[in-house]
Amino acid sequence: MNTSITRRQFAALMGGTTVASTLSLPAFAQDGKTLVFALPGLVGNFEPHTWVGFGDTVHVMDTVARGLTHMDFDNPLPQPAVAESWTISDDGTVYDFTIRPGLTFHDDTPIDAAAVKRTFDRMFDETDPTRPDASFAADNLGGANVKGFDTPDDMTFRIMLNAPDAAILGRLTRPDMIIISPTALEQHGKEIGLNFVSCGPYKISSVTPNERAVLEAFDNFYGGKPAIERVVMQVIPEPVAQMTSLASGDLDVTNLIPHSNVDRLEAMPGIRIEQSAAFISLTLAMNVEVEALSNINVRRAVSLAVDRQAIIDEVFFGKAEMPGYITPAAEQGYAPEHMELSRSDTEAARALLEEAGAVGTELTLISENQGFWPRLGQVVERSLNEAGFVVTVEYLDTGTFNAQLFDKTAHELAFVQRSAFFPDPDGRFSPLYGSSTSAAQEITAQTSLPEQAELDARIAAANAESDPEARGRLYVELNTFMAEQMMPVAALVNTFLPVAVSDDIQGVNANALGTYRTFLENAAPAN
Amino acid sequence: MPTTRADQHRFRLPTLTGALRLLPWLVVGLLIFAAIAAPLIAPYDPIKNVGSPMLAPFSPGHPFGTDGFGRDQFSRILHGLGPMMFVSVGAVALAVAVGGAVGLISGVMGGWLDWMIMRAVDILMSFPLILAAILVLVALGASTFNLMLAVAISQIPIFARLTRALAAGEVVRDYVMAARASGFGMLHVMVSEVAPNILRPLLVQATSVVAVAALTAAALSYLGMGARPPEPDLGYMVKEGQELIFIAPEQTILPGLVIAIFVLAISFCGDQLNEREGG
Repeated sequence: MNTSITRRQFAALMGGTTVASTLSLPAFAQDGKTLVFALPGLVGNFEPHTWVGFGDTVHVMDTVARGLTHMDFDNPLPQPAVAESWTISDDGTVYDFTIRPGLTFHDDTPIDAAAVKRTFDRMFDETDPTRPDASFAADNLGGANVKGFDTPDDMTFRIMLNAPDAAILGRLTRPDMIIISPTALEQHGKEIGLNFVSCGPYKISSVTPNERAVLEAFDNFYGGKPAIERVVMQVIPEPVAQMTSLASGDLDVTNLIPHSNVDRLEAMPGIRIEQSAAFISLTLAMNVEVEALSNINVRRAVSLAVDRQAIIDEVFFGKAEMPGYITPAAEQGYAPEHMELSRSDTEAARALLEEAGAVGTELTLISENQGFWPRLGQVVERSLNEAGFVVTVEYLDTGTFNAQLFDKTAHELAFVQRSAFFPDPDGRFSPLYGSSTSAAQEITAQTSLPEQAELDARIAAANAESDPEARGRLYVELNTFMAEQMMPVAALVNTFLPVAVSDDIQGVNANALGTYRTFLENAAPAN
Repeated sequence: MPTTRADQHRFRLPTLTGALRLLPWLVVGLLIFAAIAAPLIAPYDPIKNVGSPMLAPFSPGHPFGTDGFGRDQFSRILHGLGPMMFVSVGAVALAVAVGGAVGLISGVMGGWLDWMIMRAVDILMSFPLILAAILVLVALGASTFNLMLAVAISQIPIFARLTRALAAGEVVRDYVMAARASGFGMLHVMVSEVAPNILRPLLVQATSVVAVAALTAAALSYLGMGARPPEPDLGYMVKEGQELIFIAPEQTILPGLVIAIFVLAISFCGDQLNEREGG
């Protein structure tokens, strides 16, 4: 028998083998111990204080690292993590965290107060040789409001503030607040992102940029060793490829499925869609320094003109909900009456425009040119034009869009998406609407409004309130004040990332995955 | 006729015989007619929701169904033909004009000018066509006209090199020598003597390149660098429909099929012209 093959056949064989080895992942259905999770990309650098690949970095970081507190999205308040408990001084400015005894990092370095302090010092000490250029972690913890850190004893870590900040326990759950092994930090310095060591439920086994990260369960995780031995975070950027991988059993969990395909996937055997709370809010930012938008009645008309039901139906295929104003229904500070602040009424919008003598006002809206944004752009353009505006949408690549978004001379209307790294109401206001933020200065330019000073005072007062009920009431009032007195943004809809899970797996934290957080420690075999 | 390296490696379509030879011309003619008459024959406004449900199936009222916004897909495809042809034919016309002029000067003048022009063309050709077009669109912004310019710029080096080769072959012929000996200037020689004699093979080549230009334009539109939504654009419609491939595959297949039919038909037309030229 002639067993020789031609060069062409050999090349085809090799090519096929390469493709097969790339695509055939050892998903849970195959080996019973590996969970495969889809990533949109993988830069491979996990430096927590300057994320270089936002989406993929957060997925990996959440899986391999932890901080003092943890937001599990099932409870409204932060839960203990590396810190087993904490006390707050009467004036709300000193937080003492008690470190869990017996914990280690993935490199066996013991976790104590000094190790924790090493990470926080790195955020704030600009002379620290391991600190990356352009570190932004300090601002995310509280910036100038953070007075300093201390270690009263070996297992107590202290954070001192200048003024009370009721959101700080939530801020500590952010992916950039995780604790880094001091041993690894000394060894690798600024290269720690490429040699990352923390104390999360999984530890990094191998990373191949733009391909996959293999993570192994960590024996000494504070919550106990995860039930699933291995997590493979596999780069599968195309939604169509993700869906076929799900159907073939090569992929176990993904939160990158387009909303349009949710119903189809739900009908597939072996796959279920876990719906999370709608933590992702979409707004239409209005640059108040643009002459046409300097009139609040025109801004109100924009908000009234938006056909939100069409956005829910045509952009998110029913997988979204009507907004209140800034705070989504899933978070503290929302009140059902806020829905009236974001009602859709084309006739009322036209009447306001006529009253303002602004029918035919020409406006340009900037939008990203990928994902659901072009669909959203088309619906918003259509509904605003029906009310009497003349809106043109510019679809831009992400880099250009962000550059123009943060330049008030380069846009009039712009889409803004806000997810919840931690569902604290301050996270919706301080980083976007406080006058010290670049968002308030450049995206809406609302710092030029006379009402901004009162808004700042209300944001500060609400965040300083330690009583949860009273705090909630203040945020309810804050939503109303901002909508009625300023209206720098029109709330569009609130939505979530659909989470598709193999029936072989249970315990996936869908609420977290629905807002870009990835907690897989409770994932377990379905049986 | 001189051929380029690209010609030598180009996939040869099967030769059509008999009445079948008319088919590609009929298809191209029909598509051109549909593109021109779209405003008259399209049953609906391609941009407006027609009051039908989203992703409605094929029906007598909507022969291609409706898209994800409830717009008539047949009307959108008809209106999408025009931009595709404007970009592909316009780009090639522009590339022939500019590349042809540059190549003509290079081929007729010769010497250091020829050397410099051809090295510049080499540099341009060292960029992948699609990358060159993307760079142009990033600089100019996305629109149908800029897309046409970008595709044209990416094709100019091809026509410059081809024209140069054709002109260099003509410039040593007796009729050109005679014209020069009679005292005619170089401009006269280029425009009145050489150009008419190389126009025919150039146009034959241009017909073939229209197919390449149409594909490049569709690829760039797919990347969001063509017409601004909601304007109908076949390349972008393929992309828009891709997300829906499991629930409404026709959303991406139909516009893709129309692009494929146009490209295939124009390629067959180009091949037939090429055969007649003895290529």
